[in-house]
Amino acid sequence: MAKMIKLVSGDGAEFEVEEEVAFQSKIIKDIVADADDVIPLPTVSSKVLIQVIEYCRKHAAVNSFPLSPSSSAAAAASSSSSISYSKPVSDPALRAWDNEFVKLNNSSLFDIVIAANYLDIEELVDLVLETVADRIKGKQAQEIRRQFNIENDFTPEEEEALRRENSWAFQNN
Amino acid sequence: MIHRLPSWTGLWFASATAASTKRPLHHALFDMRLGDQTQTLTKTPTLPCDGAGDLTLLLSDELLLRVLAAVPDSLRLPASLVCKRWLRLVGRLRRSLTLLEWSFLNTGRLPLRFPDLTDLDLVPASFASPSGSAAGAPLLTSGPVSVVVDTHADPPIGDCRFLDPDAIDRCLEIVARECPGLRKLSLVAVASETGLMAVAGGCETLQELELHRCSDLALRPISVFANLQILKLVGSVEGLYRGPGVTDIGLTILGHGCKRLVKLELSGCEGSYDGISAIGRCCLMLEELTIADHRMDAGWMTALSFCANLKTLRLQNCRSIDTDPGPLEHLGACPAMETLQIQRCQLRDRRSLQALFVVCETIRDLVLEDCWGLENDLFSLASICRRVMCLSLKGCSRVTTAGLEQIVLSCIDLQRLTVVSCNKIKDSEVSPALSSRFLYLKELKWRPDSKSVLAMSLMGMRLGRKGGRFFRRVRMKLLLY
Repeated sequence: MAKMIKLVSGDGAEFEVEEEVAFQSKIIKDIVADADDVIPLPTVSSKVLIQVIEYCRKHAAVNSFPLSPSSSAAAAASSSSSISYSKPVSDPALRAWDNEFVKLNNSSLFDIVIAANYLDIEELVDLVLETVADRIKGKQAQEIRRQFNIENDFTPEEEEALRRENSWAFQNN
Repeated sequence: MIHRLPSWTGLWFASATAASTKRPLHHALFDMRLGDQTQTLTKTPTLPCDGAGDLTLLLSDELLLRVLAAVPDSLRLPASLVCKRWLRLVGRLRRSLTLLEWSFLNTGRLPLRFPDLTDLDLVPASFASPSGSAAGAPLLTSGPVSVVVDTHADPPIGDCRFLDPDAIDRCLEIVARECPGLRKLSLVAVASETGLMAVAGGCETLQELELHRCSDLALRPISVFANLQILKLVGSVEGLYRGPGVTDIGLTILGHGCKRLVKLELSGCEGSYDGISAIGRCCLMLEELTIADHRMDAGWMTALSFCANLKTLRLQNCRSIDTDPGPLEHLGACPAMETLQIQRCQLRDRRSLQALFVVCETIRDLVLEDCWGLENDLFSLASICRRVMCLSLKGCSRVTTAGLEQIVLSCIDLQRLTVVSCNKIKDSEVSPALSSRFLYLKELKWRPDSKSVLAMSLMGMRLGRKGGRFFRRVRMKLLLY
């Protein structure tokens, strides 16, 4: 019988998940819930927790039952390296699933990454951060501001001075 | 579908629950992470934001930094103009900077904009722009450096002007103060010691230094750089400047001052046997030596055998290798030599090329690129290096297929061969002996001319007059392009 862990979201909803799914979160794995096996997560809403659990379920399945010898070999090889980013997802089917998973609006994405960071699920954090980076690449400053509702706190003079500095003071490759 | 847990997880879980000390940790960890969250949130974190405010404020600096780091360097500039927070974070990600204008250093904005620099190039900013230069004055470019030509100067090129030595020293002092984490610095050397001493004092992690317009005098303070491992000296550059340059005196100072040197590049430097032997005898950790556009006296090559740990020797842009290397019996081989790269050199002199191969007898890797004058009989001297495993021939347009064959067949350990843009090497001239030797190679890059018809030949057709199967289902990496 699989060991179940109960996760309680910020708005009081309870979610029972298999231990290995919950253990995708390093925090949960480290903190051993004892007798009641109930882990309160006050900062994570139900909506976000459902999405995170979905991700964890998918990745737990792949990690314990590797679909192809190549993905498990790649996982074994990359687990020995110590880099700031977690190992890249090697299985193409899983990568495709991940790409579908992150087709969300910015607001939802940010909620997920904050929850994943809180729960220490490295792969999910990396996935979302790279997705956000893709949405920044190739855009001009004004477009980026519009996309994320960022307030421009430069005065026009400051912005002009910066652009000038960028062009004559040093080389930009 | 319920996934069965492997039994070891159950065991771990059971043993962990026994340790009741985990409980306080549980709360402490949550408290800590909560604290981390609330610092950067402007709204209640449990509820998703309503989309009207700045979404990125939800991300901590650490997370936003990771997002920006995932944007490639070349595309990051627009992100720095988004807002002050992004400017600060993008600035933290910038590690290397090439300064174009000296006055930027005086504004004090360098440490504000780029607090984590490890690599700073001051050379382009060190040229004095000619006064009253008209727009449209020609730009002279030599390698990575571009200088506005002063058409009124006499001579207009060959002797460009630099900033005042005092100005350079003052700015080096600024760099020493404002960039303590520097690992690499490129600058135009001055005769006074103050600037370099300041840098040595302020940048304790400095490992790599490039001194342009270097002279013997400028090398005096070099011993203060305790951790220096990589050094490039540029004595003079044809068409840009000619100074007193670096001679044996400077090389000896260098040898005694930088005993930890691992890589050394001497470009446009003078010197002779004495200077090179001083370096060889003192810099016991030297592994890589690059000699570019040298003006050294005859006989310098004999001193190379003092470099007991030298693994890589690179000769670039040399008009001659050594005008008089001396008798072969006096030449010793560098015991640890592994790689010899000769790029854009003139190789017409048999004696010096022979001496070079004798010194580099133990190499495994030989690269000859864009060398002119290399005829078959000179190329055949490479057979002195019996242990060559990787041979690369690029742009050597006088070597023929027969010449190539002679070397390929004599290097019995040969595993990797690259032949690119060698116009006298023809597919049709590849003999059966050569093509069957190719079968034993692990890697073959074959593009002797731009119209590579070899692709068609590879499909099992016969090569050469008698020909033989060129391609076999043996594990051989074949690269054609």
